[in-house]
Amino acid sequence: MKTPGPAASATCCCTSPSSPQAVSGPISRFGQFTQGLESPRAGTEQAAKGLRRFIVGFAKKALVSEMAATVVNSAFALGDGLDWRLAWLGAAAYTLQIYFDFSGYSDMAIGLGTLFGFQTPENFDYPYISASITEFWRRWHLSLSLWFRDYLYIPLGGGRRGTARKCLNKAVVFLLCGLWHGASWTFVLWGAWHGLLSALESALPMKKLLEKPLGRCLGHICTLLAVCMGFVVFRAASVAEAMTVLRAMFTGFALSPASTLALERISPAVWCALGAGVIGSLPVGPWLKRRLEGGWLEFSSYAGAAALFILCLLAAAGSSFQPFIYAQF
Amino acid sequence: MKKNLPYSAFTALILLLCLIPSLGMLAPPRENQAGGNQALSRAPSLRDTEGNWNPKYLSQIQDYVGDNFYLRQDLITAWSALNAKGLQSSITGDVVLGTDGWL
Repeated sequence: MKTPGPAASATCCCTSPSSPQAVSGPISRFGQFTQGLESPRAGTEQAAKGLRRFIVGFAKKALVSEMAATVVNSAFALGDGLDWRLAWLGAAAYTLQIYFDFSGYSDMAIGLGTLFGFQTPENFDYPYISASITEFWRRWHLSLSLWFRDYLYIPLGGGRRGTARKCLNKAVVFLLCGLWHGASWTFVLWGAWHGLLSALESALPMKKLLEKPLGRCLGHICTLLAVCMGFVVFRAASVAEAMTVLRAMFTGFALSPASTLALERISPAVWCALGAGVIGSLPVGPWLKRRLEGGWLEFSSYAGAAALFILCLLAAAGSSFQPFIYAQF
Repeated sequence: MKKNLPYSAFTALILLLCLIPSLGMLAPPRENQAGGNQALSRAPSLRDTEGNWNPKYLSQIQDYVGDNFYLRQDLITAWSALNAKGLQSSITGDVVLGTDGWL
C-alpha cells in the first residue's frame, strides 16, 4: 500500500479551502482536484470561457432567482390568506428560485475553477425535463447524488439484492439525503417523499411506461408536479406551514382578497424573470448551439455575456445581501 | 496571437468592470452619494475611542464598502430607470408604479 507523503498532505490542505467550491459544492473528489493541480494553467481562451460561465451563474442568481424570491416570500408569508392561484404560483416560483440559485452558484464555481485551470464537475443537467424521479436525480445536484450513490447506496447493496432491498436502499439513501440538508422535519419529509417515489419507480415497470409517447408525457408532468410539491415542503419553515401551502394548492378554491392583492402587486419585471426562468430551465442553449453552429455564435455569446454582466452589476448594486439558498446547508 | 485577441479583450473588459467599483473608492468622495434619506455606513477604524482593537472591523468594512462603492448611486438610478421605462416596474417591492408619474 502506498503511503501518502508530505506532498500529498500539502495537496490535501489545498483541496479543503479551494475557493470555487468551499461553500456548498459542486462536491469535487480529491482525485479530480489533484488533476487540476497537475494540469497546465488556463490559457486566454479558457479564462474567457470561465468568466463567461461565471457571468451566466451570476445572472441566474441576480436576475432570475432574486426576482422569483419576491413571489415565493409573499406566497409563504400569507398563511391562511393563501388561495390556490398564489399557492401554485409560489410553489412554481420556488421551483425556479432554488434551481436558478443553486445552478447559478454551481456555474459561478465551475467558471471560477475554469478561470484558474481546474475542472469542476457539472452539477445540473436540466433537471426539470426529467420524466421520472430517478431521472431527476441523475440531473439534479449530480455531485451529491453521485456521492450518495458511491458512499451509501452501493455499500448498502445497491440493486444487487432484489427489488425489495433496492427499494429499501433507495428509501434509506433519500431519507439521509434529506437529513443532510439540515436537522428539520421538513427536510426529513422531503427526503422521505423522494425516497417513496424513487422506491415506487423501482417496483413499477417504469421502462415500459416511459417508452410510449403518452407515458413519457405523463412522466414529465407527474415528475414536475412531484418535485414542485416536494420543494414546497423543503421551503417551508415548519411542517405546519408546508401543510398550509399544500392545502391551499389543492383545496383553496375560494379566492382570497389577500392573494388577489399579492398577485396584482407582482411587477412585470418579476413576470419577465419567471418567463425567462421557464425558458432557461429547458435545454434551449444546447438546441441553439446545434442549430446555429458557427464562429459568430461564439462571438455573440461573449458580447451577450458582457451585456449580461453590466445588467447584473446594475441589479446587484441596488439589492441587499442575499445569500445562496444552499449556503445554509 | 490574433486568435486570442477577442478572448483577451473580453477578459480585460470584465476584469475592468469588476475593478471600477473598488478602485473608484480611491477617488475623492462625491456629494449626494446616498439615495434619499439613507444614512450610509462610515469608514470604520481599527481601534475604538479608548484605543482598544475594534473586533467588528471586518463586518463594518463590509458594510462600508457595500454602501460606498464607486458609482453605486448611479448604478441604482440606471437600474431603476431601466425597470421603470422598460418594464413599468419599481425596483422597490413596496412601491407600485402608477400612471402619469404617480407612485
